[in-house]
Amino acid sequence: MSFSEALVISLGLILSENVVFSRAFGLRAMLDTELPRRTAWLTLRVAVGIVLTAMAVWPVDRFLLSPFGLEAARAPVYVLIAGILELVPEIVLKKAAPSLGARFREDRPFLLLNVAVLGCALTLSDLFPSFGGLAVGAVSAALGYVLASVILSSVLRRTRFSEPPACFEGAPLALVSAALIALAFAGFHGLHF
Amino acid sequence: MADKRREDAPEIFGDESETRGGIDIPVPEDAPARGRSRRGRKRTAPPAAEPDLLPESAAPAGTVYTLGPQNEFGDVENVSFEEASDNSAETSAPKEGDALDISDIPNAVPAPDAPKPAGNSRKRKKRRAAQARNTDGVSAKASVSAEDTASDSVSSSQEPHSAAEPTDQPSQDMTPQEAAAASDPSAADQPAKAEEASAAAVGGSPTAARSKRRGKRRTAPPKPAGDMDAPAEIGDAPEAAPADAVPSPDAEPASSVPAKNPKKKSRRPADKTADAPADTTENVPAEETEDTAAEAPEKPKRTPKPKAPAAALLLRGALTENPLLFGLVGVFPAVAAASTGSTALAAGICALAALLVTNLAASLIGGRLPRRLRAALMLLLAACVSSGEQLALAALLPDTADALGVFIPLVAVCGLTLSREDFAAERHPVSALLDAAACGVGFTAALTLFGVIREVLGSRTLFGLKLPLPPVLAFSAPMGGLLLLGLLSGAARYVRTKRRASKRGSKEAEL
Repeated sequence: MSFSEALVISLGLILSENVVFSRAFGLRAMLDTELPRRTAWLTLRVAVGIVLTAMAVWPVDRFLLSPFGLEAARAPVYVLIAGILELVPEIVLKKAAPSLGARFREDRPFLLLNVAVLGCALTLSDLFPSFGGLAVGAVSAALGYVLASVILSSVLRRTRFSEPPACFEGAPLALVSAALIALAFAGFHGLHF
Repeated sequence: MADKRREDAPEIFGDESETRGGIDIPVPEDAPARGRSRRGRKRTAPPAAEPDLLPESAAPAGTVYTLGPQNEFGDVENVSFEEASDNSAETSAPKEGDALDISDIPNAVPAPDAPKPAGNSRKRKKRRAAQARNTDGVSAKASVSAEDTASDSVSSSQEPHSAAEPTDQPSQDMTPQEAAAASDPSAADQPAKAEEASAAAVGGSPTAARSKRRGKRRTAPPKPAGDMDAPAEIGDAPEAAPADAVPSPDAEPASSVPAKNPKKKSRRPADKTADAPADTTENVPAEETEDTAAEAPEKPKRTPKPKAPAAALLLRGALTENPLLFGLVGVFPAVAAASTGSTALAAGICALAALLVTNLAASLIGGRLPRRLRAALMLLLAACVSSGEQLALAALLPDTADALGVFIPLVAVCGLTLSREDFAAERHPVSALLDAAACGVGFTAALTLFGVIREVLGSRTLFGLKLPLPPVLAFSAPMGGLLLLGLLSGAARYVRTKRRASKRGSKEAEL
């Protein structure tokens, strides 16, 4: 894969085909306004999970599922792999860094619940037949997720100081804010390389 | 720390004499302190009033009051309690484990038939049962309060005049047999003694008879069916609740007794510690359990809540607490998969099927697995269900399956699947299935409505039929979906708020 191809893939997945604003992957976790302090930590976990899961499922899909026509079994296999990838850091960090390992256990299986992890694994394995392209695409998708999280959390923080109607406080206002940001990101669809 | 709080806010925590059953008589500041209590706080001296105001009986024996010189007005300036201060601290101050002689307290009226607290809770309980049968409720309460008060070794400051105790109180160091021999035989003690005598005559020992009676008492009255802590089960008729609330005929004498002072509950541990040294041959925790079981019918029964009917649960899951409109659950299926009415309906049915399976499995597994492991297992199960759904859709509705694509497994694994998992894990499978059906149907209906609106606004079609409307392409994109979902959610909250306000207003008008 040449550098220009990698650049095109990166810009496309970060801006014009952002996994959050064009496919609504992982939007639910961002709109959860009850966890403002943990947004950075959860976003980092999801970004790492996107990259690791997409890279881990590629050989399984390439050499195990596709040759035998088991594409329908992708979802449970990918969920199993994502679960293992979530469990391994917990086990390792539990002994190496107990405080950090305890933070992994705060939530329910977060990587499994986040649609971004499984959605990126499913779509990127279809888009990129080669491992290099998939790796670049996974990193770009993760960067796009981080960018969307930073922008959306900043906007949602500003909305806390506003005084909307009572029925629009919370989730409805967050959804409308996300729609406006998605409208802004839709402007990148005009980019042609 | 607790004592500091107690000192800072005595109006909240109460005086120590109240909490420990001391006498509520003002104590002078210069009174000598006597030792330390168990919590390390200095215990105040016994009441030391002016000597000429004290009755003869209240003055401790051997007390020598030394009057100081008179001043110019003829008043005595100093009164010293050289012997009395020490003696009174040793003689009249209540010790833990010692019975208080309240005959020294002015205006203390002994109960007419107050039995002796011999430290044997079995006999106390027998007396209570006999008094509940033979006497009216007021005298039963008086005797119970006298027993509780005396067994606490001190009189309560709240009701100092309701307790009395004979002065020939046997020592707590005596064995139960000696205490029983020293105490006056009352009518309530006769059945127990007669039973022991009969057991001894037959060949058994009195201990065997006691254990036999204890065994009989351990077959405690069954717990009333209307348990407040039981989770509300779906399908139970709410008419069953009043039937449970009717007290049993056995509890009728106790119902005539006024409710006991709740403060006595807090003094149960003190009662236990007071009984412990006397009942050396008895198992104290077992007796406490028996006492609790015996006193259970005396407590006023609470009316159990009416259990939630299935219709209310279905209505709540489908409308008032719709997961899509109010819970922000299922944003991904709504924004990404529900661009048309048909795809929205298919996605909703996929989510409903996955929700039914996972809720049923979670209910069957229950608490056998840790929460995290159970959630991961449910997600794996939902992914397996999504594989089946994908194959079924590809066979039955190939166009819809192509339109949904990779969204089918993501819809099945979205947050809706685990949103009701915790609820289902604590419920009966039927309840879990009903809850899943309610939430799934409500989610599917809202998603279909959402998809139809998006299809009409964005594509000018309704399930494939062309409509004469100007298209707004943005509603077909995720951006339009987010905007429309935010507006719909706000409108739904507005309607719910208005409905609740109108219901509240109508109830207030009725009142």
